[in-house]
Amino acid sequence: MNEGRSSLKTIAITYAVLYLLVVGNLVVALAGVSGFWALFVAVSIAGLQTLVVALFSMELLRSRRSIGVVAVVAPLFVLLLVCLTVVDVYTRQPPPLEVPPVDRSLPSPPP
Amino acid sequence: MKNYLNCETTIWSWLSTKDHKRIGVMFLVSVTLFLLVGGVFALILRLEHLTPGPTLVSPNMYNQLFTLHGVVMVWLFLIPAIPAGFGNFFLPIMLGAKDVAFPRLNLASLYIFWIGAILTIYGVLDRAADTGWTFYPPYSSQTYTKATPVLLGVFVLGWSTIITGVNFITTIHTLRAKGMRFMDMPLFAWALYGVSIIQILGTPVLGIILLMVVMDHSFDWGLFDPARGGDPLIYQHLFWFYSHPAVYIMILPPMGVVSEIVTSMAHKNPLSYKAIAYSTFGIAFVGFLTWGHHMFTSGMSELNAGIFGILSMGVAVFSAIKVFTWTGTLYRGSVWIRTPLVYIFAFLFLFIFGGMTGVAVAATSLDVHWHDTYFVVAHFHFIMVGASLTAFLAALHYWWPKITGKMYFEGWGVAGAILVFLGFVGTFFPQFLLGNAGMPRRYYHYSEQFQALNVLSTAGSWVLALGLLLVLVTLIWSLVAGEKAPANPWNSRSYEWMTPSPPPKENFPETPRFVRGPYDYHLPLEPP
Amino acid sequence: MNLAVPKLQHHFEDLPKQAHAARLGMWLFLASEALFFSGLFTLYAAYRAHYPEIFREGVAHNDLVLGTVNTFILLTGSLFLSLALWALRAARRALSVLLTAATGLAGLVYLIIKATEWAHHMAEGIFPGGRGRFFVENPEPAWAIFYTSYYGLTGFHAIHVTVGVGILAWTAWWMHRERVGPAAAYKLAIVGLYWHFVDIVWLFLWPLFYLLRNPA
Repeated sequence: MNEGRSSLKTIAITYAVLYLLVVGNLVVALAGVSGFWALFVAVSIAGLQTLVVALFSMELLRSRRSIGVVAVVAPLFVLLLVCLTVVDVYTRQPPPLEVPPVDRSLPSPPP
Repeated sequence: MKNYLNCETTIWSWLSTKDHKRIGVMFLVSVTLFLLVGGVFALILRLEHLTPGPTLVSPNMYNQLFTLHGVVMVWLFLIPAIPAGFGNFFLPIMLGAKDVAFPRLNLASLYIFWIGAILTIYGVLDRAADTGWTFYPPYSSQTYTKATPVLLGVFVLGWSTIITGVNFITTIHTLRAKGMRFMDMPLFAWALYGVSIIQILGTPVLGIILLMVVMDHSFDWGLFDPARGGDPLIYQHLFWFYSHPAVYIMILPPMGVVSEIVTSMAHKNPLSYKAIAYSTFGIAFVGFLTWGHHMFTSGMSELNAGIFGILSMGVAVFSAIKVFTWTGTLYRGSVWIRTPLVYIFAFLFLFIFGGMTGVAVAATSLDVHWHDTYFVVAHFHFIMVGASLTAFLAALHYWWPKITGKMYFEGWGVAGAILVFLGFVGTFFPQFLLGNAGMPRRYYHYSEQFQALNVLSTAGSWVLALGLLLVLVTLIWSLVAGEKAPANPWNSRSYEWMTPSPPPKENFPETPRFVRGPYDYHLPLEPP
Repeated sequence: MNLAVPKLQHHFEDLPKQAHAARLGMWLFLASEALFFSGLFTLYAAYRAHYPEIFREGVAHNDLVLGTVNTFILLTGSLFLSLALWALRAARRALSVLLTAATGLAGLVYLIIKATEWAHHMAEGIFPGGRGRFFVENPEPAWAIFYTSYYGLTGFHAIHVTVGVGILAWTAWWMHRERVGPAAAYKLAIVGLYWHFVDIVWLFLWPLFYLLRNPA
């Protein structure tokens, strides 16, 4: 079982990395990165932090495999939901919220 | 002899019990009650359609009735019926455990179910919601009817199913009897495992999205109102992310029931244990990738429609694997044709019919023609009633001796099964024809030319109701006058039949030793 | 030493199995919670795809300093909790109780700062559902959508923090009263799972509502 202790050293390193990542995220934002890359970097850093928290603070590394499966499957489904929905928004033709106003005038009489 | 029914007899001993068997029985009684309520709504709906114009109820009431019929049947009957009822009762017994992993949470799930049910029913009594069970905004945000209690009720019911799912998976992982590997479990346990995954991963999305609609409706948040920049399609994505897999919440446990009954009645090991077990996971997983096929005509992007259309057909592959395995199991078995198996025959016929029409509506071009017509209504009723309800009734008869300690009446049972089958086909087969001819669903009026088939459908609903009533009355009568049930009336090898009927409080008189598999029909039957 | 050992429930073989069951149950519940939040994140993502410009301006309108301070506070709280678990397993109960309570306190400070932020927004006339002065001055509907999703996401997160603070306070008191020893540490670990999860949610909310502010 996983009732062994994580050493103080592991805890120290874990949180040092987490603080550093927070600072890194902040620096990237303050440096003025924008557009797609800003989103990509910000979410990647958050994902990396999640990985660190899950593996060390939540002791995933020392848990049984059944718990590992849960921890892998749930984020997968989150991604699935978010991605397929956003793909729909990006690929709709025409974008429904920008549909041109309908022409409500009467058709011109035949000549 | 002391068993779980007579070890304590006060009402409080039931209400405060942590025994999974009693909780299962209370769930079964509750869902049967709601089946009756939803059934009465359905009968009134069918009666309304006896004539093209107004027959019995007002147009508003018609809208409210089909909403409540859907809500009650989906969330108060179909979703909890087999997992929370039979699953709670039999999962620990099949694993050789004394209880589920979290008995107190299990009791809590029952109370949460009741609270949710009361909220929903309260919404029924006072200006009932008229949004349809799908609660599509922007209409659901603006309706003058009281959608909020119904929405909150469904939200609360969701927590009940999540708790059940957490409990089942943990139980399967930690409480299998000594030496029982995953591949030694009865197939019903596999089905419950698959359904629990969907309950855990799908239900919360429904919960959050319904809360958003509550906010829209009660506090005017306008999140999905196109006039205020909202996008109703996002609601539909989130709603169907749960509600499509919910169909598999309704069908996977019945599939587990079928696996149990087919092997027990054929006295033969399943054609392929692994095929049934793995295809359960195939359905649970692919089921999550198909939600968009409810939105083909809602203005979703063509790319998404294509992806979802193809993936939707994938579900049929796994379902077909199961159907072939079951029929292959029956082939050359020493088959006992008893009431449960008669229901299973009905199941197989109706499930194939419903499934094949499902593949048809998954094709986008065909769906444009059939969408929002009675064709779709008939299709999903073939799955939900034709398959799920018949499997529920099959399970009820199959496990009745174990749960109550009394045998049901065989002749009446078969009669009930035949009536239910005929009534069902009479009600819903004409609806395929109606939908294909263009009759839209959820309309109060219909054109004259549809009347003949509608009358047929309404007549069918009476036969179906009669059949269900017959089942109910004879089962209750068997409690009084039925023969005492032996421990193993079917000569089954599955583990729940190794304990007396009804089981003692601790499930087995002594710690069970499972020395053979649950389907080892080549070995002689040891005395219980 | 008088250290309490958790009771073995009748349906489990042994204590490690019972501990594993509790842990697995919590993870499954958290999986459910993750999907619960994912619904709201999907709303955010889809509307950001619809209205990238106004979402960016909305983020720039939020208070970066308060948001960042809150990130550090939550992270420090998590650090305390990891240390509390270490202390309990090392049979140093008093230290563990103190650290658990400190985690709860960090959560409380987080909530106070969050409430201050909301108060600032409301003073500006920003209320959920696009009501208030602000939306008269900025009639573009996407502003209302942005702030409604902001209130929705941070509000649901705050509810989870509030529940967490309650659980942490109760746990600290329970560890003190029952004189629990290392054998019961798995219960603190389970509380920790929940708290770290709430932390993770914020680690995503922080960039989405405070950092993605730079004009393209």
